[in-house]
Amino acid sequence: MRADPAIELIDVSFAYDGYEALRNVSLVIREGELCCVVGPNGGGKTTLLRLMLGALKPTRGEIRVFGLSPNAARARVGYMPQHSRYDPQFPVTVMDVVLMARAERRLGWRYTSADKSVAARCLEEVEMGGFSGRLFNALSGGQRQRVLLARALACEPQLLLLDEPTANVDVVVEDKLYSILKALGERMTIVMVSHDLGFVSDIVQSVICVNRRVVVHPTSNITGEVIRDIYGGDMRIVRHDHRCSEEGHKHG
Amino acid sequence: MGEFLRALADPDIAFLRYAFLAGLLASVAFGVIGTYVVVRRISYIAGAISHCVLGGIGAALYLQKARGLEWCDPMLGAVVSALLSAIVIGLVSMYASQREDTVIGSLWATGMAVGLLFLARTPGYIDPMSYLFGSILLISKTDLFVVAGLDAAVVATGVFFYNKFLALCFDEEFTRLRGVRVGFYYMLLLCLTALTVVLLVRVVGIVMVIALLTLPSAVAGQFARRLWHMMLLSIFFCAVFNIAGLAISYIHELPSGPTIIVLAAATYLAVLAGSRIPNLLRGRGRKSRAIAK
Repeated sequence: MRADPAIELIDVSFAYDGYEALRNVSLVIREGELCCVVGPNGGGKTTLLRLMLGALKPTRGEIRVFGLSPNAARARVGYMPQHSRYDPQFPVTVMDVVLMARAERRLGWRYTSADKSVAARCLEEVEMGGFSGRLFNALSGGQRQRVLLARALACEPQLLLLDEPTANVDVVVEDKLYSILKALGERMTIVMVSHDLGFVSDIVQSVICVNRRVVVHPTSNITGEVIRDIYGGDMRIVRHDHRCSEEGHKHG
Repeated sequence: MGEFLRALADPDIAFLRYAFLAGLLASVAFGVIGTYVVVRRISYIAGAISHCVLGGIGAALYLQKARGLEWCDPMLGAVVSALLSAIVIGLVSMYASQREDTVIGSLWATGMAVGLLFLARTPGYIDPMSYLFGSILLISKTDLFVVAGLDAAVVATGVFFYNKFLALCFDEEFTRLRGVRVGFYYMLLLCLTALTVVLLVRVVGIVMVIALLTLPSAVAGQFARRLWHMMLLSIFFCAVFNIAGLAISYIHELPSGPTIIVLAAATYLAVLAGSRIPNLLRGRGRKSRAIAK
């Protein structure tokens, strides 16, 4: 039996001031899936993610997250933005940042010890346990990215939406992030936008290719040593024929 | 300094004591709200709000003197116009498709223009300079109570919603996606900023009050690791600038507002230079060692 859908897009289109960024997108991401959104710059990857978040409303069509509207499902979604868009002079510690995941739960100026222990556990989970008192802006890009991942986890989500988790980090950090995501993928649905067009990491089960229209591919093994040489690790390549069997299907 | 202390105790120059107390009280609100203003980068909005205050003061004086509405105090006019301009700017920046900076700039000048027109029609001579650049001679005991009340309200609200404001200032989009009503808290922050600006209009004046909102926090930001550290430090710096500025202006017979602001700006520059010079020296040291190799 197949898992229930975590995200469903039914014939969704989205236009910015008349420019159509996405056209007639229909897709299903099932619970427990770890999937990657790839495509050229300006192809609509981030738009797709923001639609799933409810930060944008579709011009046409319908989006369901766990069977609800994206706004109604917010409490069950953890979102990780890119780490490079923060004010480099903002005085916050790592713990302050992670606790922001719980800002909507507390009316006053204090977080409870329960909030703090959740935040500490999430930092452990991304292997940043010893950093809670450190200045957020004094960390490296990869460390900041992991703190933002911990913040998304502190929302206690069933669905993680990640915007370019590996942008501007080196290969070692990227591997570390992927191994963390792989472990998290055991217990939640993960959708991440990636800047890699053709190749995605070994951990991903399905790939959503976005270029105004959307095509979903399964990932398949590649035996070529060439790619191994270039990337220094095991990779999978996306099959770009549209006559896929089993999970592979064409939409739009 | 002894001269200043004797003057503070002198019952004949009560206005100096009022100015001193107003400065001390207002420092708390300036430290807390000024920190939000600096990290949220809305000091130009605070500037527009403070200039709109002249519109309210002008209207209140006109109604009081020309229309005989005794209850229409300039402080009341200042509070109303500051809140009104904060709400207009907030709505424009959230909903309107107009260029935000154009609207803010227009409001900035229009507020002052309205104030000057009202003052021109108000019987008796009122010097706009005293409102624009501050004049401690105008502070009354009633003003002091108003300052204390507003101060308490602003600080209590600013502290109570600390978590929300911190999240909003650091990452508005994430906070909105968590279900926090970001628009409401942004508007609340602008209104708190408006009330804070009013607190020291008498002492430093409409034109310069914005500097006192940002400079202490900018100095504090050089040392602080967390937002509330920055607030405590800004309160301290703001109080020091106010008191030292008042003392210097009294002893040397200078206008209080400009003295306070120049002192704050000089400190900011000194702190910036102080934090840069060690780096420069170290950089040079590294370079010369590299050359020696």
